[in-house]
Amino acid sequence: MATDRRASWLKGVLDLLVLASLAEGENYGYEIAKTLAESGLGQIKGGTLYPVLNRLEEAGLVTAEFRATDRGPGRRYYTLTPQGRATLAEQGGLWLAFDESVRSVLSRGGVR
Amino acid sequence: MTTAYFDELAARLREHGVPEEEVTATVGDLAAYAAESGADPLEEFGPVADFAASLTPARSGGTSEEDPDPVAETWTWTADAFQDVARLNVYGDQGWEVERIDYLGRFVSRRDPQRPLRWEYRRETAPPARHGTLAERLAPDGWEPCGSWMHFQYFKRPKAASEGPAGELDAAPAAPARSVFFGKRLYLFLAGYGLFLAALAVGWFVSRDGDPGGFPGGFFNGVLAGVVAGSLVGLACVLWGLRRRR
Repeated sequence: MATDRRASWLKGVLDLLVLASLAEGENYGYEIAKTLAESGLGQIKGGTLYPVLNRLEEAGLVTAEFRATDRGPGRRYYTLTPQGRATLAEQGGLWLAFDESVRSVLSRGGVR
Repeated sequence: MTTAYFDELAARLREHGVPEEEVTATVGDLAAYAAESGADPLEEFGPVADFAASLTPARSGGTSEEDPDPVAETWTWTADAFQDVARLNVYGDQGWEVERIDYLGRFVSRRDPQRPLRWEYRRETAPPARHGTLAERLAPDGWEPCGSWMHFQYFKRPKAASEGPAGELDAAPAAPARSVFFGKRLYLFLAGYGLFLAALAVGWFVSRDGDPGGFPGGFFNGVLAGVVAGSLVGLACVLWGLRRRR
């Protein structure tokens, strides 16, 4: 039950988390997933992460550039666009307001 | 238990609107497989309701905009080691993602009916104790482990990792009708192995000295006979295992 809830919460906010993880500079899929995992969000598998990155790219919120590497097949680096940065600020603010409301109600319910 | 499981499965499939001919064929195949393998259907296929839903993704609803969690298509299949990677890449390109390898060595796959990703696969050979190290080494390139079978470890990666939106499928082709892929090379290998054993056996019979006491031919031929007998038992086990996997 707890795991299902976390998955559901993550699904609703994963696009924002991906945008936020690109706020400090470009990055590629594996490192984005690693950053999120290290933040305590659990392992984000490729089958979950890449559809989100694709949607963000199609919406113009990120751009992507494929670069070959000396070893391996090359990597696709993602960069936040000005539109993506604006969306992150706007939608991130809405999420924080929602989070504040949830905290307030839970707090009144005795949850600490 | 087995009959009750398949009776209920048939009833659930009918409820989902599956035509009677299809119900009969599907349930018949599954029941035959369970009978032949000796597997408990509940353990093998899971709860009836979930399994029926997985067999009828298009009829189970869940493909509308209102439902973001449609039931994914599932497909369980197997291939011999001479062609498994090629098959994995062919079907991965059609959107099939291997979730695990079951205890029969079959690839348990799923496909998102809404936005299927194209997948690529690779197989590495390493002792099971080194599988963790191998997975860590390949992870930065986007490879995720998706199952292992003895010394083989299989990895998957969405093509979107290198191709972006082009790594998604606009329309997924129908699920393959077959689920077992054994090729000529496997049968040639087995035939060659059988001939090798036969040659060993002939060599043993020709070289034995007819010693009435002890094992004919002495210690060397005793060892040879043991190798041949053991190999024949091994070959019989392999053939039996392959038959189970069908």
